[in-house]
Amino acid sequence: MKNYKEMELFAKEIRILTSQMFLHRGDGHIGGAFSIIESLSVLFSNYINQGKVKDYFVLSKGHAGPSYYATLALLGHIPMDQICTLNENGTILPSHPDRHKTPGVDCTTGSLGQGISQAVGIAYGLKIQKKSGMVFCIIGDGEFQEGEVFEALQFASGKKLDNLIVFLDYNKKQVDGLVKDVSCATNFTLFFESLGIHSVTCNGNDIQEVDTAIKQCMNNDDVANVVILDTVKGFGNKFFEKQFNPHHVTFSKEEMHALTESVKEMKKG
Amino acid sequence: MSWKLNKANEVEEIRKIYGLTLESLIKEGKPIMVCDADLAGSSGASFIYTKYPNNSVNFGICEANMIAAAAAMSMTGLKPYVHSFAPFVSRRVADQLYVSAGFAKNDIHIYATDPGYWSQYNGATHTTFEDLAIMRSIPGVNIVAPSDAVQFKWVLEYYEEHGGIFYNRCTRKPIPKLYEDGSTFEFGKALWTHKGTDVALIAIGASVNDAIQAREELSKLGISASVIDLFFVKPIDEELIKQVIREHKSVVTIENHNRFGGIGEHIGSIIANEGVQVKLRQVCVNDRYGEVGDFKYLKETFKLTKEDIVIAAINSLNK
Ligand SMILES: Cc1ncc(C[n+]2csc(CCOP(=O)(O)OP(=O)(O)O)c2C)c(N)n1
Ligand SMILES: [Mg+2]
Repeated sequence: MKNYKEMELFAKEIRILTSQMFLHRGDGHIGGAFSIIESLSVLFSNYINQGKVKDYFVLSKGHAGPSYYATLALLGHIPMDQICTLNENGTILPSHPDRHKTPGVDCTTGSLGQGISQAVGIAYGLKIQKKSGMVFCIIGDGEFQEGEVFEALQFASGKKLDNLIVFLDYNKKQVDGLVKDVSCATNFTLFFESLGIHSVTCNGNDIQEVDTAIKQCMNNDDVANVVILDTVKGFGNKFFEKQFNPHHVTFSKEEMHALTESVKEMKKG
Repeated sequence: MSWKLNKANEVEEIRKIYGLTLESLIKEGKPIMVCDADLAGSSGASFIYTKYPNNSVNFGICEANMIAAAAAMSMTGLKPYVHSFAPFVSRRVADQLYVSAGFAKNDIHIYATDPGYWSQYNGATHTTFEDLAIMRSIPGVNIVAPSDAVQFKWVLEYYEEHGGIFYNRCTRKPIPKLYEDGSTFEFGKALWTHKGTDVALIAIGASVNDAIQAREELSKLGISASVIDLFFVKPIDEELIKQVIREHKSVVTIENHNRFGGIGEHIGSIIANEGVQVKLRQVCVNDRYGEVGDFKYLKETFKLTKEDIVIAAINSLNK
């Protein structure tokens, strides 16, 4: 078990390594990769068991792959000397997770909406066979628009998947702009309540809040759980936090500089 | 049909032509509706959404809803033009296309971008080597694979005038401009761009350029090759193909698509039906999933390079 300080340090390490991967590559889905780093840190520090009990992690918003890979590398699943091969010819680290390519990756994702369906399938399979193990799944707030997400949530509710926690990365942005402009403003709390799903909202970029929210979602019998992560797209890098939409960025000189500087700062502090 | 090969060495970015052509249709007062599913920013038409709000709508990340809704919109007198990456407007929405567009006989133009290896760094989930197979099997779907910007533009305008269902399988990126501006084409007609006598290279999309380059290599080896830019995958130009298979010793098909359900199979069936004795070799993907990488790597990995065409051509002529 890691304490908050250690999880904060782990988040920083993930962010540094993810930044280095992006710097090496020169482009990438930086916004959505950065907004979930605190959740990755907490989940992989204290919740996801890879031992006798096998828990599953599904990155449904597969384009955030780089920070997931950084996490797995720091945990020793992915060889460190491979980490900067992101998207290179013949790499084991494709932009979107592939469970047959990357050690430690549970599910193949990248077509939005399908990860959460896989998550409810695994959760149901475990539950019906009385197998232990939790399923943790991160979806995007843009991804949430896919009808398939609604289908999966109804299944999760109807089948009372209490071994499933879905994390909604509410970073308010998607490719073409703000979620509320491209799609519609949604009251997620009411939405989940109407489906009979237990939800908790927290500051998704605060280790302590994420941890507390997960605690409130563990061990709730006969109900599926959602953590609404109120996040900032590009969190952890002032430059990208301020950008209108750092979804997929081909880094300019200025952006490369901002990334390099923030890595230096993180390493210092 | 009156087209001319472009003598100049030019390239044109297809997505730019998408935005510009749609804008000129709007300016002419055509009742078009430009639709996207959160990839307007990638389509080349993003400015349409701010400049012409009455001619554009973003559905959000909801491709299934977009296809059925856009197709039905045509019942109100609008001509919908939808865009997304190819997998999300083919694999993901096959039933919406089948029922709400095809069976219901509504109009829809689908710009399916970055098919096959064009998906590059997005990898397998974004790669389509099967979209032609899916689309070909839905009655009434016209499939085009333009080889350059001039053909691409012609399709956009043709659809506006005639309606129907068009699956426009094309990259977003800059590719050589094969035809002169103002060239016109014909529905369902292929283009015999280069005449030869030994082997016929029949290609689609940007692979036509690879075929042209392979032709030059072959001529150095003393092999005379024709190049046929198929353009229409469906309806296929049977008339021209029947002529081509009779006038050559062998045929090579080239497609950035799986062997199954692609043009090679189709042309093979025409050869068999005609009972013509001609060898067929297919340059295509051999039943594989996509992966990430640069063009050179992907073309080599999936055996779709100009060298692969040359080898297939030589092979097809060997007794
Ligand atoms: C089915 C599908 N449609 C479209 C895409 C292309 N795409 C990739 S990311 C993205 C936006 C996702 O927005 P969001 O879920 O909010 O992600 P985040 O803000 O966390 O990066 C889109 C449209 C896709 N990968 N899959
Ligand atoms: Mg988002």
